[in-house]
Amino acid sequence: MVEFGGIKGSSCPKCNWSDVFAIDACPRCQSPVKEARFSGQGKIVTFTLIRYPPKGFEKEAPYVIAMIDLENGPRVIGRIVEESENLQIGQTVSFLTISNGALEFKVNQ
Amino acid sequence: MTPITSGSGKSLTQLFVEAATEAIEDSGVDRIDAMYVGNMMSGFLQNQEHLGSLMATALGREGIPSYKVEGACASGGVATNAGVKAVLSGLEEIVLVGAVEKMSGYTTPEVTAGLMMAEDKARVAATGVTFVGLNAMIAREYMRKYQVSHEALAQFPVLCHENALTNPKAQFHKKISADDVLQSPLVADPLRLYDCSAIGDGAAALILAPLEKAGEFTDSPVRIASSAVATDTLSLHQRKDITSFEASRKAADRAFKAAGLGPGEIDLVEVHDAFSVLGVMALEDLGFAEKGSGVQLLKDGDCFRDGRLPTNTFGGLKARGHPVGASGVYQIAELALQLSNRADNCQVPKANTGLAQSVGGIGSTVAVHILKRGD
Repeated sequence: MVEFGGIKGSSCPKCNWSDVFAIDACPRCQSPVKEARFSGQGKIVTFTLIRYPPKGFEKEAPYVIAMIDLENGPRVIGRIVEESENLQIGQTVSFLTISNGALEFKVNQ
Repeated sequence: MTPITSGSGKSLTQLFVEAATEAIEDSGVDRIDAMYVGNMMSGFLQNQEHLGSLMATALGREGIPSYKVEGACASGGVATNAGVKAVLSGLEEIVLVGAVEKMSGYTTPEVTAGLMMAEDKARVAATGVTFVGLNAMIAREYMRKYQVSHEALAQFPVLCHENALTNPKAQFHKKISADDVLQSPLVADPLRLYDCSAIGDGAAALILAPLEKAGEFTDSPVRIASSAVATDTLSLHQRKDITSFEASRKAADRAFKAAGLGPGEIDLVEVHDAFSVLGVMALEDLGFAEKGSGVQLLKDGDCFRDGRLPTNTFGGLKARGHPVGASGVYQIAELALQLSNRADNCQVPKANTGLAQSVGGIGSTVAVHILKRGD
């Protein structure tokens, strides 16, 4: 999940499975995977606003969490830096950064 | 079953022993050959593991084989499945399945973090999402996809609170309306406080034995007609359709086939309504309603105790309570009481067959049990 202006992960040449992490083998078909770079463009599948966070995230709440389909990449869970009232399912987003291990996105204007 | 409260003042061991002792005395068995202990969070919250030996010792039964079984919020259902297999194998004859969770005495962020142990640490928990948040994302997509209103989903907690009024062991004895649900505080949008089960302490236990053996102790044994567990991907985002749990459909399919029954032959159900939307989805995934139309059963009054398919007859996870790892055993114990006409003021008129569905994680592990009257 290295940042390079996009997201670096893994994809399976045989079955097209992909992940935002570097891993050794495809969990679907056990083939060796290759490194993949995802542009970080994506579309919101669904989202929520976390008002009661887990321990360790208290100072950050409330924050938006979304499920995002990455272009030519996997579906992921990440943060969106935007007021939840302005969000809709289907909106497109761009990858911003990786913050404390979490993918962060912004809404495309 | 112990009463479920949000401040029992009892330890994990006290809760377990209370439920297990009640089950042993109620059944009249003279020995226990093996024990299965369902629990999710003792390691995280109580800094205590090795519950197999711990609980056997607490019951004065050290020496027997005893295991902790963990499957997140489905731990109780999965422990029951393990107990059933032990009896069916012929290796054990009289098996105690008990499940316990102690969630009170910790801050909400601590319990919330403990529940997230059931998700992928790096890909999901690292974002700060909660289990309410994951279910809120399901609810938002479910309502959009099937054009179901929040008010319609809210009928599920309304039903559970109604049924819990006559259950003395329930956590909540408070009638609520759909308006109460819609006006309760937001927890993770769009889910509100009354869409969600609460933090609670509780333990429940069952005694399992071959039917002919059970006949030595009771005139009204209840038969476990089938016991099935299925898994799905650990994380929600690894699935295409997030408005249905494939593990529920798989476990139900296996359980129905093994019992030789179909959804139309089930008289009552206990489903895993940790959140309003999950109760409705369960009715669909278990085959009682078409996808997107689970709310129709609620609207038609089918799910009330005098309806066509009495559902969560003791109040379900929402109102009886959801001490997470224990809930699966509460459900099966409640079905057993119904099927032996011992459900007191929760009793439904027609109870020959019942089904219980217990969900772990975000639909990642599901246990389904079908019970029948044993006489």
